Amino acid sequence: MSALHALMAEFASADALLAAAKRAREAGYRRIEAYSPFPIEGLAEAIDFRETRVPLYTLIGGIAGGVGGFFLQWYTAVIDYPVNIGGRPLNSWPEFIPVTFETTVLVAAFTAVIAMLAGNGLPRLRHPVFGARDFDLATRNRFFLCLGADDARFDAVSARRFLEGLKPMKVVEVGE
Amino acid sequence: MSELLRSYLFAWLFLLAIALGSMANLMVHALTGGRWGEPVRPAWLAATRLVPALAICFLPILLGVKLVYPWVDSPGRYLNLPFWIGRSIAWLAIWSVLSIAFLRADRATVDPASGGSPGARRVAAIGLIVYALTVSLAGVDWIASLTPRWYSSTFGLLLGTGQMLAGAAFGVAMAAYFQPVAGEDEALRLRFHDLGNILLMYVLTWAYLAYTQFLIIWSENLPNEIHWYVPRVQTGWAALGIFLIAFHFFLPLLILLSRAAKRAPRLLAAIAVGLLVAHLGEAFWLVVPTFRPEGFAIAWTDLAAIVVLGALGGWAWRREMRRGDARVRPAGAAAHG
Repeated sequence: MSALHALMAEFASADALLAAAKRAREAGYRRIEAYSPFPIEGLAEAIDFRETRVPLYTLIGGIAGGVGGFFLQWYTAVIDYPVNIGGRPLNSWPEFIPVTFETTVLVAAFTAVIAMLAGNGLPRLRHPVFGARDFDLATRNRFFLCLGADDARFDAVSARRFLEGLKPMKVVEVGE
Repeated sequence: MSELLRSYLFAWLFLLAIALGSMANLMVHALTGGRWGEPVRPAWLAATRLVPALAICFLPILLGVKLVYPWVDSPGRYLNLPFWIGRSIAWLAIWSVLSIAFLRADRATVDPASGGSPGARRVAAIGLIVYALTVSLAGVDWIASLTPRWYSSTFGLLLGTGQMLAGAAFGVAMAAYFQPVAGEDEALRLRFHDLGNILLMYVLTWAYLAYTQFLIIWSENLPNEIHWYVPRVQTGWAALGIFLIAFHFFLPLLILLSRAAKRAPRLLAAIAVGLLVAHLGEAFWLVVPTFRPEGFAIAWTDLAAIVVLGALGGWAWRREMRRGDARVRPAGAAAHG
């Protein structure tokens, strides 16, 4: 086996995983990952999942899209190609609102997806945890807690001892 | 006298919006179920019990119809006194019967979180359809007909959405006020998160409909339709329009986008109170500029009407709340009080 990526403990229930995640946090581990077949209330907080910056980028994208969409119409209708339509003012802003709304949503949605992909590194064909034995059960009825080897607190021997102490079904090593 | 009646009409429409909006929201909850209804149901039930009394409060308008509505002098086939009076009584009677039928059927509801009793659900399903249709027609009769020949196919829906928004905002404000532990209880914070999303939905729907109506009429610029907006947009009334855009739409929208805001019952209650005030502004916007096309003006009769009707309505609602409490918690079972 090549360099160690992480140590992974397998649990039979969501409650066991949640309790284990909290214990790992209390023991000082910081690079914790948890895998479960369904969302577990409180698990994200337990492994110290922080709010990402995706909402902020989405907001910025939305504002840029709205301003850009409005400017495009205003510039076209008032500066570049003014046409008198039934005596209405050139800057007929009420008419510009629907398109402004659409470009707001469009750019915000694109920014959200791109920021999400840039942040989480997807799409990605291979991840070290896929090599771990029985990890495919994470999509069915098993719950996994992973302690990353890049954690300052991590030490292969003491981390294994710690995980064994949580009474998991088993503890496996995850290679790079 | 006609000034007083016009002020009365706007104040009455505002209170009616809260009561009918509460009833419609209750009916939605009876159909969907969900724990989000728990904090708001008592306030909504008490408001729904006031629908028949509010219907009777329409009597002054009915008696003084000649002083309020301009079409009385040149009646048409649809807008003429006997037919209009008949229709008005019909709308009010239908809503009163609906409220009584729903409240009676709802008594059999065991667990509101899993939806109303079968009877309540039946009344709710029929009631919501009837409400959507009748509120549209009533809006034409009572508000749109103030501006002769004015026409907008969105108006009825806009009025109904505004009423449901007022009902929801009223429920949230009262629920937060009557929940002393609101800041602490995590489950309750989640309920308020749902209620915040409901408020957000109403704000967005209302803004969408109000804007659609404005955009279409503004673009067409046809004499029959634009004369609704001329006094509202080209005089001092525009300030009220900007107030509505800011406080009936933008500010609540921006705050309600935040998850943290929706989970803070106290902040949510403040938004709900703000929305109620904004909706009072909307009731004013719908009725009054037609009578004072020269520009923004508040008469003492406006203040008198809203203060008197508001105080009476608040007192009656509080009384219904106490009765509701007594019904939920009989004297013998006040163990946790």
